[in-house]
Amino acid sequence: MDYFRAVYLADERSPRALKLTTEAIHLNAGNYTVWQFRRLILETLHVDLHDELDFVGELARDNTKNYQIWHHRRWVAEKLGTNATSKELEFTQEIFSEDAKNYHAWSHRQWVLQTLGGWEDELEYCDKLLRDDIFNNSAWNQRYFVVTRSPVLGGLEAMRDSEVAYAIKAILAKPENESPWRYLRGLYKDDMQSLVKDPRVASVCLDVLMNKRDCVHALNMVLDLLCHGYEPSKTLENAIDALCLDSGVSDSGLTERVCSVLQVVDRMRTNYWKWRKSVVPV
Amino acid sequence: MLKREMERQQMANQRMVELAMLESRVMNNGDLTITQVNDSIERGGRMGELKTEKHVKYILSVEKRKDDYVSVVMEHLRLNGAYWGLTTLDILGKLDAVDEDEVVSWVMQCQHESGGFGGNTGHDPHVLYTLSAIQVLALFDKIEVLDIEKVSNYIAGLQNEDGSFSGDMWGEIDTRFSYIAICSLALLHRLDKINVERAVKYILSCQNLDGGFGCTPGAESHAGQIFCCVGALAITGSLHHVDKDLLGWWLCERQVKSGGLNGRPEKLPDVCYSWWVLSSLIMIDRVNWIDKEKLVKFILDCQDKENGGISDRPDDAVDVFHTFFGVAGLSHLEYPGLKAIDPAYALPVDIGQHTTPNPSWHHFGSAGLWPTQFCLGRPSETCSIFPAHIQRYRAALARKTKNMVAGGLTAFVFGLYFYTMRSVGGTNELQTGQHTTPNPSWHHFGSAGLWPTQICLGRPSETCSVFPAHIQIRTVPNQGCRASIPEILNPGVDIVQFSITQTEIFNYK
Repeated sequence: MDYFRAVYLADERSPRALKLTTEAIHLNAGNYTVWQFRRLILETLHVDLHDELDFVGELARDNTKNYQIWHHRRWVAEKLGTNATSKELEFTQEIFSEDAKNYHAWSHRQWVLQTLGGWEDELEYCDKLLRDDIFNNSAWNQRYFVVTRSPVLGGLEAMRDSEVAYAIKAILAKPENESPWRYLRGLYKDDMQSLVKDPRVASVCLDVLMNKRDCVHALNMVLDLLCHGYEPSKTLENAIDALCLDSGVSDSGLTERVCSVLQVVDRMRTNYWKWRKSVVPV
Repeated sequence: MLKREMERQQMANQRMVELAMLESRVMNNGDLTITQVNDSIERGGRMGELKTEKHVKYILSVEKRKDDYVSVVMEHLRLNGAYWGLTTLDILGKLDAVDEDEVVSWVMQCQHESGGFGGNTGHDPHVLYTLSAIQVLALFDKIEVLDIEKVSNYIAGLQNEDGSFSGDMWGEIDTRFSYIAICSLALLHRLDKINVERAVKYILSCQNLDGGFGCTPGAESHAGQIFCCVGALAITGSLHHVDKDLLGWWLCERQVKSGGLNGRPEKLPDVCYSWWVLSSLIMIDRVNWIDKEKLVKFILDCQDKENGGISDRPDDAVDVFHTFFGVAGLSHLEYPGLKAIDPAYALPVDIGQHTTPNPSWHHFGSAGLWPTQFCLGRPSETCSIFPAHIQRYRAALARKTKNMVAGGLTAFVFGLYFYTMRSVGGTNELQTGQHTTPNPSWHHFGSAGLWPTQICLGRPSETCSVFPAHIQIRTVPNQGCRASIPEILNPGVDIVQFSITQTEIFNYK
């Protein structure tokens, strides 16, 4: 490190200085000052940055959560421009094969798409990731990202119907999965009336509750629907009432009963459900 | 790590044996008194206690280490480490264990000619370390050693056209840096150097459909990023843009079965989220939506009770980062004996002056610091600087600095009286002290006089930002000073020592 300090203070931008930064980085990949000096050298020496991509890639595989490495990669990719697009998409895919939720990699991938392009297969890729792990919240987030920002798709309005179907399918597969429920709500953001009117939403709640009576996410969705004027079917009311019997709940209104049940089945968040009850519209 | 595992197992086994013996005695002889059984249970419960002395020792040892592997690898962010370690010491009341002059002098050596600070001497400047430098100096009340113009110019120079902030000259953009810039400049009283409106606009562009925030527009909501965005919005008086109910729900869903908090759906819990999530919840006044007791237990389970320090989850290796966030989290959870910490600035609340240019926020009087006047905020938007239990703590501090007439109930009553009197500038009329809300189901201060006529009771499910549940006293309205105080409330004891939970003693009607 003393050698590094010497060339750094002398601002020597030579091949041997570059080598020194390589050594220093291998010693401590988090040392951001070394990375910054390396960039200065690379610029001065006009090094072929494709090699640099390989170098960073190797490091990143061992240090997938290192901010400096990802930032350096982005700097290199930006310099290479659209020549780097497919390589960057491939690289992030490689990282995801080990850790499909790596926040840095997702940030990088989103940057690549928006700066360099490559949207064509992105929705398909999200689907693949979700088939691998339907609980992957990052993939659900990316799906929304693609649906709303991709220049090759029709935008949220055009895609809403099919996306609702997609979310519902995921919910039925694993009702305890937080993400698709949130995704569903997100698709109807600022338009709760449409959520209430979409018969598939109430229907999936009922389907889930028939199989798992105390599914918190389903009960929460039912609560949201009721609070926005949904008229419950007799079947749904009966399902709730059966649950009430089990939980010893006896409030007068159906909506209040759902809140009380939630207080029991999701005890950790009992104060939240208590608050929901207090704001039930009259 | 294996050794800890074995020790834990041993203790657990011992416990099992004890309990089994107790059980058999009760079953066979019935000769145990309730006290003996309770004592045993309590002993087990006491296994979950904060090992303050050990943690202090651990931090001081890390501070001294400069040559071992961990220190070398962390060398470039030593200034962050200093902030984590020193703030923890301060929360534990042990900041005097370090040499203040030595620390301050070393911090200043980390400053670059640009005005920014590097992570250690000889490192390039970056906002990450600049904030830590300012925070460390604030701990020692030494901000004045800075050339404030220089530092604030460095930070302000990193704002981009769209309102975002770069971390340094290399241009990485992240909402973390928005928070850092805003927090730093607020501590330096130089928020006017940036375009606050655009900064807020950029942060809001990172708001997602789940109510949370990511590092850049469209990025996944993440508790760490949420803390940064909510903190920045709080400091700039822009919390009204946040959908607090939606975000509060997302945040309280971070609590998993073990009682710990994760940072995103379907991820493992980690002690550091005790800070990111908890602070965010406090700033949006929804902290009662999590199960606090279970979280306390989780954090305490993450301690290395032998060697000190706290780890990300039980039985992992400890580090200063998680030690800080664990202790800070416990402070938020009102664990006894800890200094209160500000959820937005991440510094103990008795640090210097808190001012903000935003007129809709109450602010410190220009003449002096606490306890001259303090911010009450608007009840529907909890003042991010002084949420409920912090205000209690400050009230206790205020009482200490005044010579109170001794005597149980009187002292408490007077304390509260002076607290409220001071907050309204000593008049009988409620002005800035008045806690009103458009929501009629909230009780509010009577306009005729102060305590003891009537005080705000609020609704127990939404902690009144001024008088939270456990210091609220039922009065008989309009009948003067008649208060019924439950036995458990010991008048004359510092309010900060109370740890009554939300399970209420009173019935609110």
